[in-house]
Amino acid sequence: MHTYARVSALFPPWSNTATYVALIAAVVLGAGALVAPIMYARSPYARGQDDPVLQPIAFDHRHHVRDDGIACLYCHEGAERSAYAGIPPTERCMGCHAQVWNDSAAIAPLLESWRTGTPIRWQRVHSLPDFVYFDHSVHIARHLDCSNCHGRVDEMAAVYQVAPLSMEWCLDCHRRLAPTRTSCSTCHR
Amino acid sequence: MSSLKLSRRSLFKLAGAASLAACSSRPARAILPYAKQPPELVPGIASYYATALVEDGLATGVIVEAHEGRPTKVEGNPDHPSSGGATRAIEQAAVLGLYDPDRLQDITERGEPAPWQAIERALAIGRRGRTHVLLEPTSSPLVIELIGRLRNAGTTVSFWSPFEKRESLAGNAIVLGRPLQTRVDLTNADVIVSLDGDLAFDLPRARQLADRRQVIDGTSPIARLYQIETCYSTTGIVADHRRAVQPSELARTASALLAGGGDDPWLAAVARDLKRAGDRGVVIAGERAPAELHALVAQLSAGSRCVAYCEPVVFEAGTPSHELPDLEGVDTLLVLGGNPAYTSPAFAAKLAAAQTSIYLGLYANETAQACRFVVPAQHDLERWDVARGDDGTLTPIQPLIEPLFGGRSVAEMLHELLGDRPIDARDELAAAWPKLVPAMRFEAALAHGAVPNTAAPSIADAKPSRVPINAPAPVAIELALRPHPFLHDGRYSNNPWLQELPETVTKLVWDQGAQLSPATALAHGIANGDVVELSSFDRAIQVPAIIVPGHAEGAITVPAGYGRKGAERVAREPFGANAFELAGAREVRLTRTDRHIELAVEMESPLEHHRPVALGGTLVELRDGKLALGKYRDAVPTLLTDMPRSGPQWAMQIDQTTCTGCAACVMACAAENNTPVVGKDQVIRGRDMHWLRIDRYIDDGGATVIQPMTCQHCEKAPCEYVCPVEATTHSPEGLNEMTYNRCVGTRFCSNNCPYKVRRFNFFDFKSHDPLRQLGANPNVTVRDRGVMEKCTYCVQRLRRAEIDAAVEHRAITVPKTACAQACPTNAIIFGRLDVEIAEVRRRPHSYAELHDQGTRPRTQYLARIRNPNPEIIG
Repeated sequence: MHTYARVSALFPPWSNTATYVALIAAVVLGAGALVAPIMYARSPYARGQDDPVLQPIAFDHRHHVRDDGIACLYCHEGAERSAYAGIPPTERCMGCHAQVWNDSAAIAPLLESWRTGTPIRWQRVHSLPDFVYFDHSVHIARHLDCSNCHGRVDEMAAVYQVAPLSMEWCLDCHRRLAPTRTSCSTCHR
Repeated sequence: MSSLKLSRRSLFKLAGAASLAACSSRPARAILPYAKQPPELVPGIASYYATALVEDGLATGVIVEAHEGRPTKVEGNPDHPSSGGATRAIEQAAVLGLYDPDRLQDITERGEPAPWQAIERALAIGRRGRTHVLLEPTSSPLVIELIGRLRNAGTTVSFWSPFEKRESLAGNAIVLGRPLQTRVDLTNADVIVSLDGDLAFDLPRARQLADRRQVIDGTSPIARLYQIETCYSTTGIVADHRRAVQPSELARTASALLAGGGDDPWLAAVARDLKRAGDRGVVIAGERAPAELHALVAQLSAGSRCVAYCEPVVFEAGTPSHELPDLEGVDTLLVLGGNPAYTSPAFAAKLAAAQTSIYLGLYANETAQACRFVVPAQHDLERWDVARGDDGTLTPIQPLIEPLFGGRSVAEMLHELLGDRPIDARDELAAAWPKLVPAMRFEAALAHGAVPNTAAPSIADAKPSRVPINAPAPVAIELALRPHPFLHDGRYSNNPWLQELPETVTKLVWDQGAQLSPATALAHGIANGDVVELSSFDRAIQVPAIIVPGHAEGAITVPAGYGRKGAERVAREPFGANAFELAGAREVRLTRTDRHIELAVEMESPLEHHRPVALGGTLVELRDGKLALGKYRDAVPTLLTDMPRSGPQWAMQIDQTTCTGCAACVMACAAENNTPVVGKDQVIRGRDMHWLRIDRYIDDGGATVIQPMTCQHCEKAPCEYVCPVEATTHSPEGLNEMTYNRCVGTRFCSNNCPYKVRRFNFFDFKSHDPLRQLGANPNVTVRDRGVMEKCTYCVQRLRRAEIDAAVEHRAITVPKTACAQACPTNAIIFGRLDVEIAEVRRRPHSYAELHDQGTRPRTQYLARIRNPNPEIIG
């Protein structure tokens, strides 16, 4: 009768499980490495959404729009005619602030700008890539409301970006409302 | 890294700071509004101002586009008679000249920075001593008044520009008794004989000629153009009959024409044709031709209704004050503009000997280097002035921008020399205006850019008398010294756009090319690019030769503008020599040297390779239906599905009959679309970046056909279906779109394009100079390395027009593409397929380029139709 030598197992029994887990992990991580940056780029964080931007002057839209009843286009009048809505020149602010709150410490940088003629360095909230040619005027002419894209700025203490400003987001609207304006050169040239 | 001296400790510090900064995804970007916004300015909306660009004292009215105060694009002023809405390539490139980092930036004395007070002191001394002022020719009433005051004070004044109207005035002086200016109007011309004339760069004449050569169908009564010339010019390409002769032969030809053609059957036929045309026939001569020829031509055109005479528009033109001065006994010399040390080597020696010399100019050129004091001048787009157009129309000049480098104007220097108190240039002009033009308010004239009805009146009793003219004897090799079509006398040599603009006949860029015929080249054993020595007595220059089929035998054409030795970096780059060294020489000795250089020729093969490319025929063939162009029009069957259509259907038609190959469109396209300059090496490798090129094909007989070629916007575009990333797509308006940020640079599209109109950024060609960047069009992406690009039908202008229409709730105003807007002859028509283009496309000589490829191009052509004299065969 033959006897078999007892040979110790090369791999312990759990190594089967470990292999399965490792294989699955490799697939998941590999896919993750591909998908994660794509997901990241599409995240509100990467797009800077909902991130209030601090300005050199603590300008409060709530006060100016709601309390004082100033319309958006009073200060951002470029939106009706130009590609850019524009930031009002110091002169526009001084139209009121030469009389109102002109001794407030909060608007000291404004008075400084007026005195020296140097622009105030406002921080950009909405920023499109340079290869996108967005035009405010045509959107206003097509009766879009500012809040459609910019949200309720009248409720913001410090303004933040509401919309993702992604190409998908632009096209979503264009496909529904302006189906003939979806070709590339509408925005890219 | 060693050069940075970064310790391990500070590296970690930096890395830490960097990771902290990365916690916010938003890069900090400031947005700076004006403190006080100019009332007429809305950020994002371009403003347009009428002004003028001046060359040799004559103004071309232009309208300049500015974005937030930076001029970016020059267009012609439709209300100005010297422009008629068109421009030359030179005007299109003016913006690049404004933002030239090589421009003079500081006042210097012998190369060292000096204060303005030093100039004031030198001029105060000049006020007391013997002073001479050398100006560029001028027509400005303000400057003329100052010159009068200077002369009263004992200062002598003269004017110099090498290629100003000189010969024609001298010729007219022979037959009319005084130097009158010839005024040609081709509106009613039937037969035009041009002796070395260059109509392509004479904007009003080019348009009149084109209007007289509009082919609607085979019965159109179009004018006939004969061109007799030395160098193959673009007018020669356009002409129905062309003959190449030595420069001295021109006068003999004119004499023969005056005698009815003599025993030359070709000339006799031309003379008979002229006679048949009666007063609708005209003979014109080029400005470079000698005075004798102009005298003969005036006699030939004596009875023509197309020619009139007026007093010269340029101040004292045709008088001895337009010669270079002898500086004997002059203590202080003012050179205000120009570059006489380069354009007259003989004067350069005298200049260096002057005790005190002050130069006002744009560049540290040869003259600046020879002068003691150098003052930066103002560019035309930076100054207030007034000048006259070629016909005498008074033209106000207003600045688009404050002088970038604090330049001074000619008037300012003259005021200082006179010891006047400083006066604001605008105030001076506004104050002088009511006296100049009582009929038009200053502001209205500024807005208009020209004062109507101020052209110089024609002189009714100017009748050329018959004066016998002796024609010079022929020589073995005759020199024709010509202004370069784009660099002129070298004043634009520092403009890289103009350096890289192919001359239409030779297609040569960046280097000088002494043009000679194949037979003359063969006789001297010269090949393309061989450096030849041209010598006359003790003067000699060495220039590379280029062989031009169709050039006159026994003659060599040398363009000016090369061999620049100033401090301008671009102007020094091309290989060549100063042609003015040989100024005045008629006969030259031509010898081949051992040197050879590689010339950058943008289109090496001039052959069509037996394919129907640039089609053409005669008017009679068109009338009799022998051209059979119908087979180049109909739709070829295709497997591709139709693209959805909506909105205006854009299309373009290019008329090869009226196109003169002046290349204004090429330059306009570059200025509008931010196309980069690549340099000579890259051009040799075929990597030039012009979206629009002018192809020229030469047949065996030396006859040349030209064809502007750009993206044809095919309805079945071969480029679109090979793009792996859909970077090139089709729009519902029929545009073949290029989306740069999608492009990955496979170049499949370019390979599949039968027209070879796509351009690839092999390197980072864009300008990184912050000054140059000011001139870029903000509405067009500046492309990066690795991206394909091509003609977009100026889609930014289409979108602007659409948006303007939408905002104002009206129908769209069809815009012009940059090329169509610049075109002096309206040879490029742009518009909607079913509206503006519909009529021209129905004409019997409309055809689609490479029709057999089934691409169904939106851009189509009108075949080149010649109107030969039936008496002349061949």
